[in-house]
Amino acid sequence: MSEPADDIAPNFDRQLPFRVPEGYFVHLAQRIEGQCVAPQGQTQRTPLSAMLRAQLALVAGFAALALLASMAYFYLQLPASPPIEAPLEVISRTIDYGQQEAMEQRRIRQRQLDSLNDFTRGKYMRYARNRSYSSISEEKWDGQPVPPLDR
Amino acid sequence: MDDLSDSALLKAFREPATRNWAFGQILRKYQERIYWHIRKIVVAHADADDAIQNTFMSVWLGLDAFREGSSLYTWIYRIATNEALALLRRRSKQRYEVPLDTPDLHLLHQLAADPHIDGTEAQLKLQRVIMCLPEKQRLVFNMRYFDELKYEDISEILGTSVGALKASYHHAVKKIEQLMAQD
Repeated sequence: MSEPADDIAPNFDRQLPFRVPEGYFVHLAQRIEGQCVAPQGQTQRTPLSAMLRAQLALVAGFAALALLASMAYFYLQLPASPPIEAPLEVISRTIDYGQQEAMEQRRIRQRQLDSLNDFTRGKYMRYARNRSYSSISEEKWDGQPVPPLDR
Repeated sequence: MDDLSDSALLKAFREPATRNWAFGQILRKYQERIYWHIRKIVVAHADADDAIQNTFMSVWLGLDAFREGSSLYTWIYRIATNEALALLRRRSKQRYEVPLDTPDLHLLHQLAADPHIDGTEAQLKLQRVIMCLPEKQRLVFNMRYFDELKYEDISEILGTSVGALKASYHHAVKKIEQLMAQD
């Protein structure tokens, strides 16, 4: 493609119709210098806060990371919460037959629950055996207990 | 003092003791030329005032990093052009919704409303016709015709080849002649 000739010489009015306020360029230079240039004898210094901003951000980041790591560490080190012992329930001082039967039913259901607890949670027991009896010397639970029976 | 070369001013700018003085010299040396360049792009005086302040703020902040691969004057021109175009785009969002080759409505409004515009009818008409040109042609025409910049300098400012610039200028002149002859 041939390049257009560079000798094109239009004859339009070169005078622009634009004006500026009186003394505009004198004040313009002063305004711009006022915005950019530091006063004489005072070098343009970076403020301390600006200088330290990056370092402070880095330190804050590390601190947050350390805090998170320590929280995670302590959370993992916490022992499993011990099984919640259902307190012995005193229904009445004087027990009639119906109450006794109800308590018996409740005990049966509680035993079923306990065995379920043992099965699902894993109950580790250490026994001290004797000739005529054995007693539990240590008991350890794993996992969350099945909640006790509703009253 | 005024005939200090750009390289001498740059050297003075890099010395802490003469930094402010050198910037003042650069500012006074180029402010009028840069202002008129911006003014031709944005038309309104208030917009040109904003853009030239932003331009010299950028010059102040970027002058340390300026390497003398290009001339200081084309570097400032390039900053000014970008500032002016960015400002114009912010001001006239509707310009992308109108068909090509229709006058920029925002600029036409500025031409009619700005209190710092007063010229002959022919001058105003030429400006209205220039506003009908595509942005690149308008820039090239303004820089070549009014500022009388060399194509090599315009090429450095706009990042376009000299051949493409000559073609743009040629098309711009033809179109202006055609539109001026219409009325």
